[in-house]
Amino acid sequence: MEAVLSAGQTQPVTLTAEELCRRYSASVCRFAAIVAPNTGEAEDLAQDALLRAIRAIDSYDPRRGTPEAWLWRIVVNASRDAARRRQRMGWLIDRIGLITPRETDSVETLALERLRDADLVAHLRRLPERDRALLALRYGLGLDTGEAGQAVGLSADSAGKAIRRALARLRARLEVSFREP
Amino acid sequence: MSLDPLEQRLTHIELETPDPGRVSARVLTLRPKARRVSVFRVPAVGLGTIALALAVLYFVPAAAAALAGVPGGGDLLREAGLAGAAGKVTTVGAVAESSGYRITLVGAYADSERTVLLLRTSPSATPDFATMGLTDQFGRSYPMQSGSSDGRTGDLILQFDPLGWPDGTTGARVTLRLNSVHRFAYDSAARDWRNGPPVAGTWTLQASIGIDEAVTLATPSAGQLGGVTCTFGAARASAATIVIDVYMHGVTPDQLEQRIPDGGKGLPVFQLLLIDPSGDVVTQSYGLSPASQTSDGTVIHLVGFRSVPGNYTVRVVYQGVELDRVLRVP
Repeated sequence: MEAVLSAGQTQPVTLTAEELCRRYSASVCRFAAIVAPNTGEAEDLAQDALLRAIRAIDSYDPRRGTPEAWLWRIVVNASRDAARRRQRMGWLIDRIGLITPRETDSVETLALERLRDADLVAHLRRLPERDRALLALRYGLGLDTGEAGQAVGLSADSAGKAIRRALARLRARLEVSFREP
Repeated sequence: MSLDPLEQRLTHIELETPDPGRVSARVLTLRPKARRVSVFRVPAVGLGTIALALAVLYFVPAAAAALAGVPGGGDLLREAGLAGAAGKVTTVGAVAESSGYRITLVGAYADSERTVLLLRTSPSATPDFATMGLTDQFGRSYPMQSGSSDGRTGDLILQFDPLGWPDGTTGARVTLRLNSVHRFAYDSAARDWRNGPPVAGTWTLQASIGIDEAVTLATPSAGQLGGVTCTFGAARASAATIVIDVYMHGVTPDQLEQRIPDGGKGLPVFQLLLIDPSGDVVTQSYGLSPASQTSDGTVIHLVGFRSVPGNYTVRVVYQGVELDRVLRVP
């Protein structure tokens, strides 16, 4: 079970399951840590995503894009399915109403200064599934909007807008939590 | 392009990530092995079938008594939504004692939608969910969906995600581990049941659970709710659970989550109910999220409790209009 990867590389590289894990497991784990609701589920998601990628390794076609784009589509689909399983059973459904984002930099800056990373991740994990995936791809993995969009089935332009909306929703949450006693 | 403060924080956020080395090791162990063509393919399939049959015999407890025979077991079954599955609940009886707390795994039930553990605690206690874990014989962990406890009796019901493959076919040997509990007692000043401070300990309880197979039900016919078409997908019922997919065409999850202003919190614009033959609402859960969105609308997975055979009603309410469809459940 292996695939020849040549996109973006001068020499074709044969990617085995071991190579795929070696190259990408850290990034997949980072993505999972952002989108999953807790560390236990993050581990399950990372495992599931990598297993799916290994099972599909023969289907990778270098003519259709980079190995990273192929992999992130699989990883995002795995996270989407995991979210669907959770949603099916009606748990972790956050019914907080959508708050109109207000751009108040001073409040945001103040809130961010006081906010621990763990709290920021907690707020991030309460965002809708697609928002989490986009922010994880864009900021957690450092993909550009085009690459992030490709993974979730959006154009670069639409992905940029979706990321801005996701940021606005996150800001709104931070602002509410900051204003609450 | 410059990043604003929030984007900068997100870019450099410190995360508690799973250990890539451990995940890789597990993935490489679990990966599918390359198939070898064999002239003994047909005998191999036969042997595989025999092995699977043996596995089923190994995992499904041979003498699973009905929990209804256990004193107070009937209440536990009703509370857990297992009233219709008394004969399918495996009596376990495993006991673990630590730090003065005795926890008994009274019974267990699993179908394609949920895995339910019925426990008794003495004195009455609730687990610390953050340190609790359910795993199967393959080391896979199952997230908890919901839990409830009765401080008067010490009854504790924990519901987890459904078992994965091949557990879902063969049954599973599961292990529940608790590392901390809270004394659950009545606070007369607050007039309510409250959790006390955490009590550390080690409670490990094991059970072999068979899977209650679901049957496929006839799909109800489509209908109209105002200008919206509602269709139904796969419907299944096990002894304890009824599930059906409901499709709302041309509307998004966001639209279904809207509320009709009523001067207060507002009324939900969309509701989905499962009603049993005696008229009681037996909806367990349904949820809406962006993941519910399909190419032409929204799909909602409805889960409800089955208590008796008969005609169950699926009621879809949208913008004040009701659509009822009957599910004939054996």
